Amino acid sequence: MMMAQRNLIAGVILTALGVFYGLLTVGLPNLSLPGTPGPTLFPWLITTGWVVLSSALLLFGMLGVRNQSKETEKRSIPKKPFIVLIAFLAYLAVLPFIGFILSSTFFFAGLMWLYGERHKVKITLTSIILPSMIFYIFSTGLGIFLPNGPW
Amino acid sequence: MDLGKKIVMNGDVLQGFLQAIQPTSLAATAIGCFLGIVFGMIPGMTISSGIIILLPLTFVLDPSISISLLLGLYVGGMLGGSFSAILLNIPGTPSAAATALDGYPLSVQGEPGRALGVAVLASFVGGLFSFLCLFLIAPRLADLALSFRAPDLFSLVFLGLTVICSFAAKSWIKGLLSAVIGLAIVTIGQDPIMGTARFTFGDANLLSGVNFLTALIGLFAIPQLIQSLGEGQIINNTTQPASMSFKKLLPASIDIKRMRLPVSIGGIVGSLLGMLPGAGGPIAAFMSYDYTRKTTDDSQKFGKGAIEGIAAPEAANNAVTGGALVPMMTLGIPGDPVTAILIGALLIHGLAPGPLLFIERADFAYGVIFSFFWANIFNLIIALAALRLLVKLVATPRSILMPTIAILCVVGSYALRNSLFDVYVMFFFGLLGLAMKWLDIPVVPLLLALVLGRQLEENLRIALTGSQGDISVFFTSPFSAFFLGIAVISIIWSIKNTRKVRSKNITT
Repeated sequence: MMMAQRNLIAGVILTALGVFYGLLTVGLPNLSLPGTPGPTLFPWLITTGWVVLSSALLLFGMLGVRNQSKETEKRSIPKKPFIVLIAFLAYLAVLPFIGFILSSTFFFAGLMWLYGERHKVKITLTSIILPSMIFYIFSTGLGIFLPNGPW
Repeated sequence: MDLGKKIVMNGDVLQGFLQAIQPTSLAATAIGCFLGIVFGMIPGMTISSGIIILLPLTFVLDPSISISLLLGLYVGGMLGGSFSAILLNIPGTPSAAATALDGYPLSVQGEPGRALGVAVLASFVGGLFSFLCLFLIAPRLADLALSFRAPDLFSLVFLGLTVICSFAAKSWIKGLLSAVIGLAIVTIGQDPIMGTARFTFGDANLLSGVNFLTALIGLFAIPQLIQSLGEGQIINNTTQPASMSFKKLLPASIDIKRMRLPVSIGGIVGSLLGMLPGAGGPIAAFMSYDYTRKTTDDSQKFGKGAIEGIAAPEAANNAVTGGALVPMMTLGIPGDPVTAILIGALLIHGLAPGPLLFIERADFAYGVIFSFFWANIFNLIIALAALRLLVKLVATPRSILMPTIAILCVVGSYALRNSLFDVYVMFFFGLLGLAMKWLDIPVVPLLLALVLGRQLEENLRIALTGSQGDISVFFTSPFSAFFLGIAVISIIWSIKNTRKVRSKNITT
């Protein structure tokens, strides 16, 4: 996708978010002493800056799209990044239920495979040893108790 | 300076020196340097990734040990980045890109050891030069900063943010937008003056706001994980550094003679630009390279393995580290993500960098300065003594490294408050980082806004309360007017620069 189109998308999204932030600011309680700035002053300044800047980006994006040639880049979207993100999300979802060691073992093995490792024994051993090591170093050595799960 | 003050200061300097030479601090500095060189060397890895891995450790370690470890990593990472630039033509850090221009050609000509030796020595001298700047300038700047009032502090932080936006982004709008988003995130939680809950959506976890270390882990590590998916192939197709031979590492006397001028240029440019928030290593390295080329008689040899072309950027990018510590230590303003993490690591231990640190904990402040000195010494020793081992580590499989980083991201964000909520926040920031990367919006201004935002709001409100709402207070104070003036100049400069780059792109 051309940069002007990305600027246009960024302009639309950020302007919408800026307006949303402004709407949330309207709902803030303005508790302050007379003549002194309250807790809404800074959010209002941010809203103003946000909306002005994102509108400018939107405008530049629109001008850029109009001026650019009709040819568009055609590139296939890689799937691996999405798989990594979904795997990460799944890992975070199961982490509190099955604990750090078990969830990390599966996640680690999956990531090793995604990063190109195909040796099954290497994947199995590394994904068991490394997360377990991290767990014990942090819990016994540093006193940071990672989620245990039901065990 | 009166005698009493001088004696107290000398006592603090001595205490700081003793703190830095504690065996645990020295060991932490050495380990940090070793890991920094390793992380800097591995293409695709950054100093920030290395720090993210070590971050959970710093929560439980003594502050002096934590800061020694992180400083070692910072200094080592700068040098490590140049190793892969010289051996693989892949700069390990953005600052090392200029080193590759002459380092790689010299390496290809069969002299990788000579190129690395020059880089190591130039980095050492550049680092020591910036240590002297840090040692001499920081206490005086802190002294001056003590006289700043709320309007001055507001304008100073505002200047820091605008300068960062000017340097960090190709487009000034995107740079400023990134900072504005960061400031908006800072407003989540209780406001700094009255404690009013803002944008918390009734969630108690958000009352204390978003911890910037959690945000930083997500912003840097998740995009790194995704980016590394496509890098394996490129790196495997390049030269195998482990098979190279390194006959001699210490530069010959003729090389040392040729290094004098470029190292001096690099040291001065790096230290000065390092003090400027956001300018950082890449600008300093390229500027030094350019100055050296212009001042050298035989400029034709540049790009073909010139010793001067390695020495100048190397001295500059290591000198930047000491320079960047000056505003961080004295004003609490970070110049780059690494100094932002250093601020976070100090804040966790209740030590707020800024002018007061030199009053309340001057011994600790000097300890940090001396740890930086030792980091440069260890950098030289480790790089020369363990070069062969270090070069082999470049070949660490990505399939082990990346999953380890992913898991340590979770551990690091969880360890901050023993809360899974922070892990989810980290992941959210990871997605935000990816989206910003796709939209070509720089993340560094956002990160630095997260560090500085609270200070900015606090000083704005204190200043306006003191002046009963009169905004002229920001223009009547000489310091404040000066800072605001430079901020405006930096924005104008950035707008002009964006236009220049755009018109250049159109003509090419």
